[in-house]
Amino acid sequence: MSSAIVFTAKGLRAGFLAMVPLGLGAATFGALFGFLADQRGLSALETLLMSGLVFAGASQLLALELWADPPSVLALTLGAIGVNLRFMMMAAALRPWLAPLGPARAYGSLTLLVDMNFAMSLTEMRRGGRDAAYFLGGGLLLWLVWVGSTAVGHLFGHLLREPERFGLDFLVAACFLAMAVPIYEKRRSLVPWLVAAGVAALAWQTLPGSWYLLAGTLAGAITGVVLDERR
Amino acid sequence: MSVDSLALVAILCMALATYAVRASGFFLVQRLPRSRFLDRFLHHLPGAVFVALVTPPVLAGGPPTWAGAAAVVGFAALRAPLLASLLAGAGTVALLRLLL
Repeated sequence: MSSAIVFTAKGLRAGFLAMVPLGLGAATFGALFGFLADQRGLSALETLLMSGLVFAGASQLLALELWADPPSVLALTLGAIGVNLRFMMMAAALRPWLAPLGPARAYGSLTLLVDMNFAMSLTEMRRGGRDAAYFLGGGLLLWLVWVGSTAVGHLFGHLLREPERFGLDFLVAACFLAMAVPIYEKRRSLVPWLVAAGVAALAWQTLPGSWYLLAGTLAGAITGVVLDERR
Repeated sequence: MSVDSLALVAILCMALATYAVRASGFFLVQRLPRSRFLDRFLHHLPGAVFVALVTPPVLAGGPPTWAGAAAVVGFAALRAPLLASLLAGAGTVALLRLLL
């Protein structure tokens, strides 16, 4: 089974280079995030700090949707947890590589866990790869690309006045719609998603701030669990 | 280049919370028995977040954002690249705002 897992500079390099093609996709997304962050009024430093420290695209977009002046720390934190909870399952799935490394390397590598890095590393792991530094290498490339492309996007945000005229204020919502479509499952998603939409719409009218997000999310996810139980 | 102090607190909290999620998955899998409820809840969570997040603003935007949302979903369902889906959505919104 797991003949000794290693952690070498060679594996780091292999992971870094294998991630280059996916880095192009991350760069597009990062530039878009930087651009939208500027439109929402985040300063360059705030935008870069968010990309560098949070390093999770979907939750950063969600933060833009929830961003207000002054921002609600609670809403932003809960929102980040909700969108990023999938990382829990990913970290758990990487156990065969992480557990033998010892806590410092394992928890250090996990700072750079994102979807693309997880997918690449899991594939490499299932192919029989034994060098766990591959995961860290891929994460490093993605982090550099993410922060760099965020900066570029933010720089260009200033060039465009009246973003509504081009429908650009719709892009954040559009991103989430585009991300929702591929995870839709015919048999499991329809009812939970309708419940999430209905409860969110109702709460948007009746509750203050961004509680609609929490209400809709919990209603939808719990409906999903209940329906799964009865199947 | 400036940072609002409350914005900084919010960004730091988001960062800490996100890292806590990343680390806890590995931490817990080594210690806890797997629960079917938690597996299913985590499975349904991302979709529920996305839908709950976009529904109110899309509804509130009127016909332009309704049509824009339909365009994005349509393109994404046809497996168009992300950027193409986004542009289709933004273009639809811009066009309808111009016409209506």
